[in-house]
Parts: sequence; C-alpha cells; structure tokens
Amino acid sequence: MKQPFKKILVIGAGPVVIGQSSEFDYAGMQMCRVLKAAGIQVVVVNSNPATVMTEHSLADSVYIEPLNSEVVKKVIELEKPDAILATAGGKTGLEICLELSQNGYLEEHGTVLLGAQPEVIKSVHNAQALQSMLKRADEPYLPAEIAGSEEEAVAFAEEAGYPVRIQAAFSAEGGGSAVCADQAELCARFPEFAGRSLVGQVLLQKCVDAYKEIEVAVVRDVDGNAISVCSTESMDTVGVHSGDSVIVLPAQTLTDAELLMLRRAARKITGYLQIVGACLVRFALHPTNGRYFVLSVEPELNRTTALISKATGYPIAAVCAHVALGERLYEIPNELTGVTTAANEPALDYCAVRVPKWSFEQFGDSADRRLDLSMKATGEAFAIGTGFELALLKAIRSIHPKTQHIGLPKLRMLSDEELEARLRTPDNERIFTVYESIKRGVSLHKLHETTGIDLFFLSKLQNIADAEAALRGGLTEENYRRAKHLGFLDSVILAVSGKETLPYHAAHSFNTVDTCAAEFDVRKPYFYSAWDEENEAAMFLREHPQQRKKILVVGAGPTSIGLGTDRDYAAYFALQTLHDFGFETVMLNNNPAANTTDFAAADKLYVDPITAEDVQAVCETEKPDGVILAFGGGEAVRKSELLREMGITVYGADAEAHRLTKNKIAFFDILDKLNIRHTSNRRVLIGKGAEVDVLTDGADFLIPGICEHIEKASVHSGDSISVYPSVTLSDAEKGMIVEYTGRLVRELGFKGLLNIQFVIYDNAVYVSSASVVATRNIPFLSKATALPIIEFATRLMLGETLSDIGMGTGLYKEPEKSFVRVPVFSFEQLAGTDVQLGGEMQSTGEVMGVGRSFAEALLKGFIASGMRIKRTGGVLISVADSDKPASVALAAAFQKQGFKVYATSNTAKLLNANHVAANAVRKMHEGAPNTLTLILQNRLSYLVSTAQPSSAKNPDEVRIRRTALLRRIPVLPSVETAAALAACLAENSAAEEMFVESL
Amino acid sequence: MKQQPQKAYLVLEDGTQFEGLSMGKVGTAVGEVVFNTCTASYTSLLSDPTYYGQIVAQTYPLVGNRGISAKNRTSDIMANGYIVREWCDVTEEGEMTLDEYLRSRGIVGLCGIDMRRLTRALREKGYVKGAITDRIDDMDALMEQIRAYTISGAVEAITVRAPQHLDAAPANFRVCVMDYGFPREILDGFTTRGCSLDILPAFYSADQVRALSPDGIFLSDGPADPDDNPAFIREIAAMTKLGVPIFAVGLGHQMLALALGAQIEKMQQGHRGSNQPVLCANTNRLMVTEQNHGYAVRSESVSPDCAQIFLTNVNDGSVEGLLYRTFPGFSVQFTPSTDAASSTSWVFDRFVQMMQEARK
Repeated sequence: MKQPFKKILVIGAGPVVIGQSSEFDYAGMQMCRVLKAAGIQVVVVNSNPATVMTEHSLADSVYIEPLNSEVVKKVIELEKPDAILATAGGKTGLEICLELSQNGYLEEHGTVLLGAQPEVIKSVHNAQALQSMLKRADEPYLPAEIAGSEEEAVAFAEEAGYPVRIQAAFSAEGGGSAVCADQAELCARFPEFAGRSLVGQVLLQKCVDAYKEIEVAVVRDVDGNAISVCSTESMDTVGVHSGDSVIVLPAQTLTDAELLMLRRAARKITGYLQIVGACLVRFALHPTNGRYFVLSVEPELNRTTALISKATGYPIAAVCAHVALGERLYEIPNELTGVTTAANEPALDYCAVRVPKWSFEQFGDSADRRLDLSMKATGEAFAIGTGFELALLKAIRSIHPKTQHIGLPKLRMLSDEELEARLRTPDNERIFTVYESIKRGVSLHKLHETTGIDLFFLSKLQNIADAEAALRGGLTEENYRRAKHLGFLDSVILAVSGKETLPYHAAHSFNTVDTCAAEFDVRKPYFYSAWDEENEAAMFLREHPQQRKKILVVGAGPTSIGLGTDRDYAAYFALQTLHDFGFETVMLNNNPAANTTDFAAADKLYVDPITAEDVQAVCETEKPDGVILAFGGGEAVRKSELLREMGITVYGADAEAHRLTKNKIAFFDILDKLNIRHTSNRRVLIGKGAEVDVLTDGADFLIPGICEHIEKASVHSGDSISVYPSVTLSDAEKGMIVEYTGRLVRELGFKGLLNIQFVIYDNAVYVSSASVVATRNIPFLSKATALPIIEFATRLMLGETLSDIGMGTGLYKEPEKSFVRVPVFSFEQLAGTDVQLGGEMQSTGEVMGVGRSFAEALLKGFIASGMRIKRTGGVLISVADSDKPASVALAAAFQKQGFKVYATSNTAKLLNANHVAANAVRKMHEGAPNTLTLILQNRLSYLVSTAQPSSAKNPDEVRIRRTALLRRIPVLPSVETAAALAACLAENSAAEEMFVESL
Repeated sequence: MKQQPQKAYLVLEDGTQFEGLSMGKVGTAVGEVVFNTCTASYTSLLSDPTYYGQIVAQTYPLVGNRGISAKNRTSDIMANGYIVREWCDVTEEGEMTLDEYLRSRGIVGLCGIDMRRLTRALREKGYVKGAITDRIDDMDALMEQIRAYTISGAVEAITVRAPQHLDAAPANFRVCVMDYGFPREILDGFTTRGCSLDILPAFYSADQVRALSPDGIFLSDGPADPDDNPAFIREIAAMTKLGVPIFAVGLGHQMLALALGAQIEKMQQGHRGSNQPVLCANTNRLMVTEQNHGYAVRSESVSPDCAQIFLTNVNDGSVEGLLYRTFPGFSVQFTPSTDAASSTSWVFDRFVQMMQEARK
C-alpha cells in the first residue's frame, strides 16, 4: 500500500495521575512502532520522561515539553508533520486536538488529524454533548436535569424513575452528591443541596448505581468495517468506578441477548460517529430487566483498551495506528497467530481478571478509602485463568504478593454487624470483606442484596471458601488438587491446613493466549499458568529449540505510588538491550497497563504473579540461563536465592545487595568503615538533598549526573523537584559526592545501577541512603544526559566493564541546557488527603522541563505539571513557625513582581516589620472575611501553605489547602518550592515565547 | 461448581483419551467431535440442527452462567453430546442448571477436560469421531462403536414431515423454504421483509415447488456431508431452471454449488465459531460471521461461467459465497444474522431485491 504520510506527530498523555497510568505510553509505543514500520518519520511530544514512546528507538525526534496547544503548535511549525495522531494522548491529547482544529490552523499548516476527529470529541466530551449525541443516535442515555424547585425535582424523578442522584448545581466547594430512593428523601435533601448552589439549583440524574457495568471495545476502519474486540464486566455495580472494581473479561453474567444487544449498540454508536480507530462504550445494564443506558463513549485509547489488548492478545492501539493510515481491518496481520487478521474478533478460552491497587497508605489515616463514582486506584494487575477463581486468586496475589491469598486477617476481628456495615459502603478492602462474609456463612442471596454483586461472582468466591474450609478440615490429595486448580499457592495451603510439609505436588502447565482459542497454531509465545494436562510452554520449547542464551526479566507488577512506571520503562529497555546483544528474552509481569506486558516487548511473555511459587513455575518450564530482577523492585529481588538454588544466574541486584542497603544499621556500618559521613538515625539533618545514579562494574563507576533537590532533604526525594545539572552545589561538594560514590561502589562490588541519596548540611556531604532497585530518576537523567543508562546498566549486570562501554568513568560531563524533574500529585482525586510533603512519597507521576537556563526549565516544568501560571493577583503566605524567617525573602520576591501578598496576622506582622507590605488576613476561626474568602473570591494566584496538619494550631489549614486545590489554585507546600517559582517568574518575562526544542 | 464424583471420559477414534467429570446424563454418547469457539450462545448451539449427530466441545470455558429458564430453553437438542470446561451451578428461582437441563433431556455431557488439548487434537486431525463415556473398562467394544458410527440420513431425520406455512403481513413475496434442518431464527429475516413462507420437507421435488409458484426459493442450512444427499441435489438442479431467484445458506449453499457442477471438499480445519471474517470482492466490505461447517466449496471447481466467488474467508481464502450467472441467485456459507445492524443481514435485502427484479 502506498503511504500518503511521510511524517506524523504523536501526542502523548503527560504525567501519571490517578486514572491515567502507563496505558497511554503503551498505546503510544504501539502506534510509534506501527508508524515506524510503515516507513513514516515519527515525532513525539510528551511532558512525561518516564515513557517508552519518548525514546529515540521509537521516535525519530522527541520533544519533552509541556502538553498544551501552544507548545504543540510550535512543534508543528518546527517539524511540519503531514498528520497528527492524538488517540494515545488521553483527555489531554483530545483537548489539544480540539484547539488545533480551530480557526483553520491545521489547513494553514498542511496537516491533518488522524484518529479521533474534533466533531467526535466534541460530541462525547461532556455529559450534555453526550446526551444530545445519544439522542440523535437513538441510544438510551441517562436522564439528567437541573431543577430550581422541589416541584421540578419531583417531576423529573417521577419521569426518570427513582432512585435519583442529587448534587448542587454551580457549587463553590463541590460538596458531593446523595442518592434519593423516593420522593420523601428527595424533598428532604433538596434544600440542603440547593443551599450549597450559588444559584439555588440542583443537578438531578437518574441513579443507576445498582446496575451492572459493562464496557465494549469496538475497532472500525475507514470503510466502516467494525468488530467488537471484547466486553468487560465489573464485579461491582455502576456505583463503584470501574477503575476501582474487580473486572472480568469477557462479561460473564449476561444472557446471549443482552450481550448481543450491547455489542450491537457499541458498534452502532461507533458507526454513527464514523470513528476510524477504537471506541469504548460503557453501559449500565439493569440486573434483570435487560434495560440499558449508555454511560460514556470514549474515542481514545485508555486503561480499558489496554486491559482488553493484553487479555485478548488483540493489540488495539497498533490496529488503531494501521486503520488511521487507511488500512482495512482484514489487511492488518495478527502478529500472534501469523495467519489471522485484525478482522478476527478474538475468541477466548479463558477468562481474565483485573484487580485494582490503591495507595491510600501513603496518605495516612485521614485519606477517605471509600469507593464511589470517581476513581482512586493508582495501579492494577491482571491474571488469566481457565476458570474465574484461578484468575482471581492469581490477580489478587499479583497485587498483594505478601498476603498471597484473598483473606485479610484483620477482618476476622470484626463483628458480623461491622462486617455488614462495611459491605454496604464499598471501600478498598471490598473483595476481602465479601470473602470474609462468605466464610462466615452469610447466604449468597443476602450478599447479593447487600452488595449488588452478581451471584455468579459470589458463587465463585464460595467455591474458594469451600476449598479453604476443606483444607482446614484436613489435607487430602483430593482437596489439595481442588485448591491448586482454584489457584491456591502451596504456602497458603500449608498455612490453612496447619501442615509443615506438603505430601503432594501438582505440576503447573502453561496455556497460550492466542486470540483464537487454539483454533490456529501460534507464532508468538504468550503464556499464563493453568492446571491443564499439556504444558504448551514446554511444547513450544520442544518445537523451537533454544538457539541463544536466554534471560528472564522479572517485572514490578502493579504501579503504585513509590513504585512508578519508571520500572516498566527500565525493564522494557533492558529487554531491548538483551535482544540487541543477541540474547533470547523472556518477560514475567502482570500489569496490564505496562509496556513490558506487550507481547512484542520480549521474545516470550508470561503474565502471572511474582510470588516465589509462580516465579519458580515459570523457571521450571522455561529454564532460563539467567535472570534480571533489579527492575522488578524489592519484591522481585527477594526471589534471587530461590533462583540461585535452581541453578539460574542472577544478574544485577539480588536479595543480599538489597538487604544490605535497606538495613540501615548494616549500611551505616559500612559507611563508617569507609569513613563516609552519614545521616545516622540519631541526627536529623534538615539540609539540601542531592542524589546520584551510578553505573558500576564493581570496580569502576560512571555517574551520569548529580541531581539536586529543591525541597529540603526531609521531603521524600520522589516528591522533590530534581534539578540537573545542579545549580547550587559547589565543586567541592560535587567532588565529595563523587569521592563517596567511588568508595561505596568499590566496597559493595556490585554490578549495575545504584542510587545514592545525599544530604548537604553546613557545607558537608552526608550519605543518607542507597538503593540497588531504584530507577525513579533514570528516565529523566537518561533524557537529560542523552546516555542510554538502562542499556549500560544491563550490560554491566551481564559482566561487561565500563571500559567495554567506553563512555569514561567518574562524573560524566554536564550539559549546557538545564533540566528539571517536577513531581505531579493526585491529591484532587483523593478526598481527605492533604497537600503536604514528608517522608512518605505521595506523587503519582512526573514531568520534565527543558530550558536554556535553570529558571526557564523550571518554569516549563511547573507548566507541564499542570500548574496555572499567573503573573498578577494575590499570594497568600501561611507558613509553619520554622519557615517564618524564610518567608520574608519569599514575600519580597513575589511583591517585587507586583503580586499582592496576603498573610495571617503573625506572619503579616513579621513581614511588615521587615519592610514587606503584607495584607493581614484573618484565619478561618477568626471569622469572615478570612483566608477561605480569599480563595472563594478567586483573589489568589498562589497559596504558600507549609503548616503541618499535626502541628498546626489551626486544623482549618488542611481545608484551606484542599479548597485551593479543588479550585485549581497552585498550592506550594514548601518555602523552597515557592521561592524557586518566584525566582523563575522573575527571570522569565511573560512576553517571551516559550522555547521549544527536540532532545 | 458442585463436587462431581463421577468421572467420565472422551475417547477419540485414534484412541486419544481425555478424563473429566460427567455432566448431564451419565452414559455413553458417540458422534463426530467438533469444537466451537463462540462465546456464549450455548442455548442456541445445542439446538442448532447443523450439530446433528455431533459431540460439541465449546472452547469458551465458563458455560451456563445464566442457567436455563423457560425463556431461553430450546425445543430440541440436536447434538449427541456436549463438552465444556466448566458449568455454573448458580441459578435464579425457576432456572435449571446446564447439568440439570442436559439430564432432563437425556444428553450425555462432559466437563473439566483440558479443552486446549482437545482443540489441538481436533484441529490437527480434521474429521474425528469419538465418544463420551463413563466406562472405559471395555475399550475394544467402545472403539468398535466409535468406528462404526456414521451420520446418515441426518436431513431426513430432522426435516419437517409436512409443509408448514408462515404468514407475513403484508405478504409481498412467497418464498419456498427447503428445510434441510436449520435453526428457525433465520426465518425472521424473510418475514420481516414481507415474505410469507412455505417450509417444505427436504424431499419435496422441484415440480412440487413450482406448483406453489413461489417468488423465491431458500435452500436452508443443515447437518452433515452434502455429498450424502444426491437426490436433493438433483432436485436443486431442477429448481435452478425454474427462473425463480434462489438464495442458499450453509448446507443449502454447498448442495446448490454441487448441483451446478462444482465440487465440495472436506476442510483441513472447519469453521466453527462466531468470529469468521468474510470479505466481499465486489464491495470490499468485511463481515463478521457465524459458521459451523467442516466442508467447503472447492474454489478451483467453480466455473467462472457458472458463478462468481464473491465472498471469501479472510483467514484461509476458502469460498464463502457464490453469485450465480445462469440464474438469479446467490448463496453463502455462513449463517446470516437477522439483526439489521449486523454485517450480514444484507443477504435478505439482496434476495428480496432479486425477487423484485424477477417480477419486472
């Protein structure tokens, strides 16, 4: 086929936040690969450095820039692409598309939008537009209305049918919603919600919380050929966001007629919108009467399309790229089978279960762990099984490798009443609560009534509980085998049955994910563990004798705060390096949003949990020569002893090295021995933070770069703004960092990548910690230095030396440009959390700012992180006592640029005494008008608020910060961050155009 | 799933054995063993006459999740046996589980086997006979029973005994439906387009059809080997000379091709599932089709003077549809859906159009 396009711009999705993980990078990566294979030049723009799509192996030119239409336009003007593809850019990408499509800009620049078209985006991007589109398409939508009086509200509810959801229309502070089951309740709640509205109105919507939630993905080509790839079903009803629910593929509890009806509706909507690409339609289906509503229509690639791609072996994003180029579904070969095409709807002979992972523990006890219509999970894992129980148990232990089972000990302490109360209000331990109830003998029908969970799912949990009860009654070969087939680990069986050793053994088998239920022989090996008679992975090995040395890379599983997408990035490039250096590669991972669970990332893919038994099973069949655990984090490296016992070489970080660095006492002993100053437990040093990632062959070392942190060292390094090259470190300090690094690597004799954290206090350098599994800074540093750090690390792990690599040793030369890594938080999505930084990491993602100067890079980093930069207006400074001295210079800096400075009484006095004019504002408890009023009246451009909630004399501080956050006023939780912002605003004039350049 | 103490087996004619658990009636059932990759439609699967005499293995692993209620209960089970990986024992009030249902209908079933191993065995061996049984103590006798098994007289056994009439309002066309044993759902495609139907026994002759002076003739799908039915094929050949548009599906399509001198071959890999992609050479339109057949029209045997191969299978290039040149008519290998939103319902419109043109 003749290719009409020579150069295509692919827009990424930006930083990881709750509801938006690496699935967009996975989609972008597939698209780039397809485009490159078609001989097209690929230009990528993204603000998130921890992405695979922004590496030069996938894109010809890469722009790490803030994602907004202004920047994208500059890129278009620089690169002059023939076409733009934003389907992998999430909501951000679609918004940019809409802006580009205005005022004839695209026509003027001779470029076209592929994938989701502006008319389509407009017709689905908000509730009203969606409603009117569905009306035109003659598909059922959720009735909604704004009511100004009780009578209007009741009239609406009578027509739509109870229950209805009520919320304040145009409210200042959000204020949540309530479900009214009948007229009495509606009338009782009306005044409350109308009162919260600025205009005395409420928004009413038919409530379908108790309906089943079903999603159907459709792919359509330019000729209108369409197939529905797969359906998904949430175990929880619509009232829990599907991102927070256990999901099974394909849908399990629908009748034939219902499934056909929804698939048909999804295809119809896709056709009605003339979508060329993918379309995900989300339905609410009544549990018994067959009635349905369309909840959302998404013309972009997202978490669900990624999950469906992985669970079916049908790569939706790659197919989207093909159809965007004008290819027909039947012209696109299926890479898994080699004989079928994208026109084949996948046929599954298994089911896949996806379980969400939350990171509430990072936010302390105040975080609200209840689940509702907005998503709160930060990651997910999936597993495939020939039965639901097997898939579910595997997915659950992929999320909780330590627990290994669906049980949660602390729930045993709850009374029956407490347990039932928890069932009525879904929270992040829902599946465990339901299981505990089943174990206590609560009838499935009663559970169904309480939770709305379909009997099918409950009966599967009952099967697991029955098997567990049988084991508890005594271990026999029969109930051992039954438990294994349902997915129990040997360790769980031992614990439940109270035995020391197992007299039985069951051999795992591996089945193939082939999109065709074994109808055709496969070309690409993608396996999951099962308990069938024939081990297909072993059969594949017999038919394809090993030619090259084989390395298994163990992944990190689900993403969570602190276990970011950087690990997936690292594992992906480790696989690529191994491949390039002539190894056969095998991947084991279970995160559906990951790049490494793409079946093309390695020569072979296993999707399974990462517990000892699961890893052992893979290795017994696959018999790799070596394994790399370092990019799987702590959980993975703990398997090193087991693997060595099996005779497998462990390359890079292992359990011993990990323990050594994690164990503070042992680690500080080493530092003492090496005469390295360190932050022992007794001293708290509030100094400046710095870190290095060092490449080492055990003797020599190469430091790609020293990064400096803007916030104090007491803030978790992952939540700190990282600057490279450092701005304030002296040559002597840098020299000391290099010196200490050298001493440490020689002592540890470790091969690969080591991260060392430093505190600079009173002109002296201290080591605070080190890690052999940290990769957080690597994508950023790799891009800033243009060094393929993961490639080097992988080669060093396998035994090459730094002189083989030939990039020198010591500290690598520093670039002229400046780079900053700015953390991105998801506080908005998590009720009850406070915008304060501390020892626990809280950021979900990161962006990178690139500039000719530090100030420019930082400003771009702030913009890319989503901060609304303003150059006028008010700045409220409300700081902890320890920050008071620093607040003077800060206030002066803002004032100098024309900002109006506000401060609470004491701080204002201090500022005024130091000749900084500050307006005193009352604290909330001192009566109105006060700090909250400032926020609600939109008089603030920035809020600097550093009081710790625990030590704050005024607990209202938390409320102030959250209110500002929800109104999108930048909240600066440290004086250092605020000072850096003030400085970079001063150095970058508003008139200056943003500097945009490819890496 | 409840604990099923009773073991049961599937034995193939080459001696391959699969061990599982009994489902439905306990006993022995012999038949041609075929797999189907469709997802959920077990209720229609079991009653589909094209499975007559066959033991159906459904590759989709979790079957019967919604139970069998009066609403989706099928009239007659055509398959000789049913194999699934796992059936679900949860039912609502008034529903039967798949197990209870099969038992009530006297159908022998099997569950809990390595379905992928079976699918591979069937895929590699092509046409395979076998038996589900609870007893493997006398293998010789069982193997003899399997080897002796043939599906014969399938069409005669399930075709209507006497003509049936189905009215449509308004009735613009009269269509004779030759019943070779087919799922009745397809008839909606005609009645909703104003065709009144005369459903005729398979043994009806072309003369008997002509006596009804139809506007069109529909040759239905049906079970088994098209070569088994030479008498029907002779009559079909005569029907093509009546000057009446003919539309044929599945077995009807194969017999029509045979009647016009083309040949039929046993496929290395049959098409059994609901996701077979079919492409139209004239419009470049893709269809996602439901199929269940192990024979196909040999493409080299289709004379271009006689018919155009206008539909082909995207996966293996096999013949999926013929557009005839010697008389007004066309035939397709797949089972078209009557759902107007589907990619295959156009066949009914095309047929009606042909009948309209024939009137002019």
